[in-house]
Amino acid sequence: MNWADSVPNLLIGLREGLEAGLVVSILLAAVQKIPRADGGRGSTRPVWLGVLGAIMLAGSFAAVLTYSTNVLSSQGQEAIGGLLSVLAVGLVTWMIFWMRRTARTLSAHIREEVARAALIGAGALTITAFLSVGREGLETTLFLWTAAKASGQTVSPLVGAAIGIVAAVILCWGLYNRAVKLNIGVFFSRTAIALIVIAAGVLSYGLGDLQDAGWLPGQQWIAFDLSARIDPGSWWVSIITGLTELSPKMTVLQVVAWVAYLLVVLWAFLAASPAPKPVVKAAAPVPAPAPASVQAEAPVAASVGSATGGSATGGSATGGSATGGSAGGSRAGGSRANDGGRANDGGRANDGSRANDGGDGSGSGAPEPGRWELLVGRRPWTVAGALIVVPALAAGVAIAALPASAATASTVTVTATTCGKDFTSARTGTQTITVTNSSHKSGEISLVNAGGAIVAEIETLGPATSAPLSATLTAGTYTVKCFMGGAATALTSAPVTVTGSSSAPAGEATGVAVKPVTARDLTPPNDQYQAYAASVLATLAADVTTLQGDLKGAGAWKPAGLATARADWLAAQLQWERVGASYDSFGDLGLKVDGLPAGLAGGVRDPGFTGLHRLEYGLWNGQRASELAPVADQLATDIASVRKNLPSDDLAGDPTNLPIRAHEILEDALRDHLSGIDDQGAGAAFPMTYADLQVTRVVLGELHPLIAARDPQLITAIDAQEAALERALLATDPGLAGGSGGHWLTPAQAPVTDRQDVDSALGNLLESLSSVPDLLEVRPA
Amino acid sequence: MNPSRRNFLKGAVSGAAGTALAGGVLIEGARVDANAATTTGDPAAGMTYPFHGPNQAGILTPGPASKQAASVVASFDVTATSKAGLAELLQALTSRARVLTAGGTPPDLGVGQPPSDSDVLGPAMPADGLTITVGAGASLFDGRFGLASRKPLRLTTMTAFPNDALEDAWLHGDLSIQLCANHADAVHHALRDITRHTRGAMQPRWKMQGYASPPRPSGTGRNLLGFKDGTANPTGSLATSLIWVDNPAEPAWARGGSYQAVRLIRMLVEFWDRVSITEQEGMFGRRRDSGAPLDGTSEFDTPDFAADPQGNVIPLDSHIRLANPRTTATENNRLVRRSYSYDLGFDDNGNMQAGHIFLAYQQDLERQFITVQKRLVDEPLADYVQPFGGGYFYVLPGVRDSADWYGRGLLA
Repeated sequence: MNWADSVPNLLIGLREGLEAGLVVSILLAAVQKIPRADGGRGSTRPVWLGVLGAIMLAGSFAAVLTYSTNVLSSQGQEAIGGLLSVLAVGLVTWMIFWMRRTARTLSAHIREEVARAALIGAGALTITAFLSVGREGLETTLFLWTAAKASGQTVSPLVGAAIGIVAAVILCWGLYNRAVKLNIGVFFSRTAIALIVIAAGVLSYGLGDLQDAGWLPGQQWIAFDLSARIDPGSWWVSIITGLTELSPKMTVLQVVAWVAYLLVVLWAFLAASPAPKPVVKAAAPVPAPAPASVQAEAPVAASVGSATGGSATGGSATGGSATGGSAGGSRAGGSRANDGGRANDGGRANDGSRANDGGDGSGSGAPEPGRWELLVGRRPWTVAGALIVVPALAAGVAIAALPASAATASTVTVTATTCGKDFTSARTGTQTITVTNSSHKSGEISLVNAGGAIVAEIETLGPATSAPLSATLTAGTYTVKCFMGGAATALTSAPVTVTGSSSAPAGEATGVAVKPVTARDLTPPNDQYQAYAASVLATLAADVTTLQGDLKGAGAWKPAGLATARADWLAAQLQWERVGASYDSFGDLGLKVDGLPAGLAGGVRDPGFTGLHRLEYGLWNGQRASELAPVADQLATDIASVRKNLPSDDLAGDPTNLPIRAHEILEDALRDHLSGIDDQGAGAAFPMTYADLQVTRVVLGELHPLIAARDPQLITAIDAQEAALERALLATDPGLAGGSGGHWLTPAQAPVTDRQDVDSALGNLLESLSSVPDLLEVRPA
Repeated sequence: MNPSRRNFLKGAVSGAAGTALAGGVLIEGARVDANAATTTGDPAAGMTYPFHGPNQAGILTPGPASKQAASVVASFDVTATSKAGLAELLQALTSRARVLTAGGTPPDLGVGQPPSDSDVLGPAMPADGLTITVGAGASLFDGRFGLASRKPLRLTTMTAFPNDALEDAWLHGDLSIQLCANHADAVHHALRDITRHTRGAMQPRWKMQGYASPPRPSGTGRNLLGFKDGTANPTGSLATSLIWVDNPAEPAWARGGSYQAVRLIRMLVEFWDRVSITEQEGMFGRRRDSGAPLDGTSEFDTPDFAADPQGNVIPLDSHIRLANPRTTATENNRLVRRSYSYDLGFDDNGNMQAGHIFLAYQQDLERQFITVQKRLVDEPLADYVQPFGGGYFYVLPGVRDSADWYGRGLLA
């Protein structure tokens, strides 16, 4: 988060808030000045109701802006954002100059309006207040929104705006009650300059957005791109980009627009001649610092009159003198401020009071109120209600009428104690929900349907990070579950009901919602697997004993003995395959039994090369029996050790490994056997793959009920694909089914089509098996 | 000068200056954008070529002169064992091709399966100008699927020409798939996606990855012998009339298809580099720098063989003269080439293993590629090139609409 991003909005909030606040002050002062029949002072309630309506209007506008642009495509967002930015800059620029020109007469004007409205009734007062403040509110909202967008942040600009507005309110309250004295003239002219700088940045950003959207040319004509040279996260870049709304990469159009806007607007603002122009002659002698007429409120209003307008001297300002004000900035501002100050202390108040005082009952020649005005004018509560409710309703209708976007992105927040409090809506179809973890723990987040099945999940969401949760939803009820920091129980959001189509929209595949599997679910199958592996290992131990016997006896090979040893080696190797210890899943012990020379410093001569493949290497590379006998002895020891440690988690004890085994045994066959990587001379890829298919079937048999309960079609597909693989393997050699009996084809000897058939069937089966570990992954529940 | 006139002039000048500045920035911006679109890769990522149509894309859409920069030609054997299995395969191929050439966000399969896409092209999966061109080899029309009677008239198994050095591992196949895209990663991604969805029904035989050279400095791209290659390619309606099969004697399903000759040709580039420029240019019949015929001055000048019957300027055995004698009789021998260069490792003798993926399209293999190739037998260039692989394939008619699929007419 970049707190420099909050500065522009703080300034905007403060200045625009103060503008609006001063208008409210004038309204309140004027109202209180109105004499009432009972002799009391005018009630301020209608004004406050109008202000409330204006705030509602601004809030509704903000809501519409936010929601309406959220549903747009990114290109649409850029186009609309760009247009609004340019519009906001135009409005703000116009406001700055308009205030200069008319602020002198503003309070008088408002006072007139108030007096006229008061004649009609409290409802009209409310409308007057609403109109006076509402315009400020809309403008402020638009400018805040576009400046926040330009900064690319959400939180810090909002915080900045809030601080600015609160400060403005406090300041206005202070000014109103004369608790604070502020040189408002200097304040407004200084902030106007800052506002112009910010507006230049927003303009440049808005034009960049329009270029990104393809509405303006020149997106590729880059003036400079420092993004590769400077770190956008560094504090000084943050401050520069935050304060000016500029970015490290800008197009020529953006730079030209920025410079041109700054030059032209600043020049126009600052360089206005201090000397009054002859044009003034037309100006009617408007009761000059009109505000000063009101007793207690005078200071504030006087300040407004002189300061915002930037007009030369508080007393003599004339309405028509468009250029008549604001000499070289601060000096004139300073003098004006003094004037204002004196106005506060001194009693020049009466000067302007004639306008109102004299207007008693006559409305100062204001036009007669119309029928409609009279109708609503007397009903303040109705009017206020309408002013407050209508914007909210209109906004609600507008938002509801917006088309649902192709992929709505919503945000769900996880805290240390809550899970998805802001998960309130979702729709059918595919959507991406951004999950933000604002806690200090990492956690697992899942989106669960009414049946408790998981629709989408984020396996690990780190502390203070966000991640997308992509889900395809059909009609139903969904809950977010958060398992934070390994907690035993989940935090859960309120359920959200999604209405709409019960199936995914055309063209969108629906993933199967997965009922979570627990380690307890997997324990019985894994116990079965352990029992199976134990019996296979017992046979293997016997096979190795036979092999040891083959290798003992003679010191030199006899042809028959060699053939026997090779056949017995294959029997042992296939038996080991049938254990299912793929992918090093039996750890270092497994590697001792069937490790490969690859990765050992000494290769095939490395003392670490032991086990079945070491025997294979010796048997097919003319090594002596005496050389291999110790290897066989070592193998027997290692297998005994595997048998002893079988239930340990490093070997077959962990039930969560079983679903992984279901696909990795055959992945190993493809990766190591059929590629030839593990061949040490025997070329036994087909028999070994066949043994791998056998053990995969055993493992799948154990997992069958769990898979069938979740994806019955998968089981059907796997069964058919297993049969196809078996056929393809037997096509290379029908003897495979009987354990090969010492004869087999190496892949190189087999016809290309036979190999293609095996690869094809195995590849196809693996695509299906790859779902098993995902389907049966142990997830917190 | 009175003030109002001065104001007017000031206003006019600043107005004109403002307009000029704004106009200048916008116009130059548009120009830079247009340049960027043609010279940098990124805007090309979103480019798509229509998938549906009477003919497959990737031959004339886009045409050879503007072909995509990256390609792969891969050959597969069908492992499905029945006609229904073959139909399923071709339907799966069609639906993947439809998705891949259109681009778009891959589907979300939920938590019960691995992700549906490799994300090699990122989460939004751009089409990147991908075209997919599927052809059938003669072996597809053997007895396995009962298609023998439906074999295109001219489709045969490629046999060796006199200077060929064919290697079995690089030859033939039941299906050829030519993938072309603006970037190599898109080609890789498409092939990976296609094989993932078709593993059970087809298996790879061989694959060669190719790249196209941009104009250097202008005109047609060069091959690895340094010569512009494809200058005389027929274009427009001439190309159309030469490649799409419309022979009434062909099976009806084959209408709109085309014969594809794939030749993997090693170029002995080190040897070539040790040959004098005169000899090099004589072998091609063109200038190496400009691509102009030896009797011309610029690349697209038409050689006038009739004016040089003895071959004093352009040798009689030069490649361009043999390949396209530019006579009325040989006019219908012409074909459309859409070739790429390839680069592999080093040969055992230390030479670079690189060359040419020759891809030619025609409506009659015999009349066009085979006739031209026979004329080229023993051309001097033959010493520097070694064809070692490839095959003949029949590019299936286009997929007409969202209900159609590759070879639906063939399997009907």
